Amino acid sequence: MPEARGNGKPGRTRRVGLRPVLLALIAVLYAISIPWYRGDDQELRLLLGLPDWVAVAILCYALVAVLNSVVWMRTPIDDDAPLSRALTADARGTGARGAVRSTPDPGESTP
Amino acid sequence: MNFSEVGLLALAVYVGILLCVGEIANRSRRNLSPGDHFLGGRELGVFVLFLTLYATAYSGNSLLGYPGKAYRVGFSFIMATGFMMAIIVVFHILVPRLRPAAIQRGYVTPGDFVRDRFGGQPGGRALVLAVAVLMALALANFLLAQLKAMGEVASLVTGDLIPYSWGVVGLAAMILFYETRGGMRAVAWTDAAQGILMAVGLITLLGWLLSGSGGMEAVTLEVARVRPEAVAVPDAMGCANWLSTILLLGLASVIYPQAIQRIYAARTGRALSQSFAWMTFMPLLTTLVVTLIGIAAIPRLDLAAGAATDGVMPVLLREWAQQGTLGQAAAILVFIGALSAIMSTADSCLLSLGSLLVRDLLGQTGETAAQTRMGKLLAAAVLIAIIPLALERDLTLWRLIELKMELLIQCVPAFLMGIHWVRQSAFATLAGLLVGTAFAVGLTLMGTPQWGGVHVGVIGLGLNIAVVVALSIGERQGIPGDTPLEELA
Repeated sequence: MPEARGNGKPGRTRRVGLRPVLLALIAVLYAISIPWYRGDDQELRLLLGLPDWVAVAILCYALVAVLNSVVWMRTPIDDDAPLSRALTADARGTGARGAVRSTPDPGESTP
Repeated sequence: MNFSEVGLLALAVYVGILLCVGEIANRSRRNLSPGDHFLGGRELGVFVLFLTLYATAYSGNSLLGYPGKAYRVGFSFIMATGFMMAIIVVFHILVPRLRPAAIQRGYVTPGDFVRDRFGGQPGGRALVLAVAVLMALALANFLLAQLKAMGEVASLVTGDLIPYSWGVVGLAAMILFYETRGGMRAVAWTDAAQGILMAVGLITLLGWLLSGSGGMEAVTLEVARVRPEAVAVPDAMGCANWLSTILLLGLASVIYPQAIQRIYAARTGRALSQSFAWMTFMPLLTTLVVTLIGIAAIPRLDLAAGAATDGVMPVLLREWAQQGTLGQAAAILVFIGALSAIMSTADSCLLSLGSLLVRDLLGQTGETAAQTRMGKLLAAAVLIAIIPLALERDLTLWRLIELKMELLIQCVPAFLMGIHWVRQSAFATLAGLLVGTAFAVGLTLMGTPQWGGVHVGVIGLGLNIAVVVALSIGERQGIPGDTPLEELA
């Protein structure tokens, strides 16, 4: 994972391992949230005042929210991080591309 | 004073506040550069960033379209909570790599990334244009949906003291004024207040509905009695549609131009990740709430099918207001919250549209004040052009959402794959985009919006990705030094 490169701190190493696991868990919860497992001919069963398959879906999404929040808190976004190779290396071998940024027009940039 | 007059007064006060905020934001600007106008000088901190992301993501579609859809289809629309949350999950693929590039390379629009990534390759300029056209169409569609929603809310809640057409035109003019004066700062500040109003208003409305109906279980049993199909477990096609909708909205919403520009506008990367950590809970507080509001309305209201169901929320508000002074005050709060959500999305669309037209379609990069002025003018022209379409009331908001997403999702390979895969070429990405778009638009025009419950836009994306992969690999065979597919981070 890019955020772990060049960082030997043990805490960071543990984070790197957890993030993909949590993302995989989120994918599993999404699969469970869809009522594939229920026949469409079955009678109404209530759970928490809702049809049971609806309650299961909501519980899955609540868990997704918690896990996803944890993943975001463990995703440090460094503005100075090295850029993706897709942006720095030209696949045709012509080197780095030019930056988009250009100089502001000094004459017009004041209110 | 009756509800209509109170609603009119509240609307006038609210619009007055928006205009003041626009003026204050105008005086706070540092210069007239596109970076300052369209991205607020890249200074949005966690609190404002979170609320502007929230208010922008939850719009007229969420406040009127989603309850209308839930009213029509019943409990299966609980999928909406899933797809709104999926957006914040899918951002993991894009944000950690896009954000540093945006800061280091000075991006202002989504097209700046496409130009930077693919611009130097054969077909690169055409790809930038194609992505810009799809995004501009999606934004114009989104803006259209907001204008329709503004007209509906203004008309229904003021009891036609403000007719639909006046609501559309008048509120559009207000947005144009404060957005043009204050840029992203005005939009973000008003979004922050609008986001708080919206969340408080919705939760209050659901509480009133449930308490008046004897609780959730009583509502479910009543819905089952009145309309049994609304509580039925979705069949195989319904489940396929559930997954397809999560994919369609989860993937396409990530590349909303206004969402991408908020990634650029954050003060720091840390502020961005913290905002997303909060944002992930908002579908539970907003989408789930509006879905349950739409479902709770099934036994209470008997609305005609089609576009009339988008009026579920305003009709409920009027009913609530008839319960006495407290109900009237609470209904006004929700009304302003709903209108806030709609206007906050419309202003964000308009701001993005201006920058996108001038930089990505006309190809004017750089940081000049003339570019900012041109962006404002073009956005105003598009807004004026869209207003006549907004006066047509027959199309449901949900169908507008689907149409927009089926276009936008075809840009996914350019962003989500392009930022990771070194070997992906501009020509392959352009070919994939054209194939996917032709497929999705063609079938939609032929009256086939779905196959077996799966949206044609999602199938088109599958074709799109297949073309991108096949052509990129084929194109680059024999070139030394190429690297394989980079792992998804």
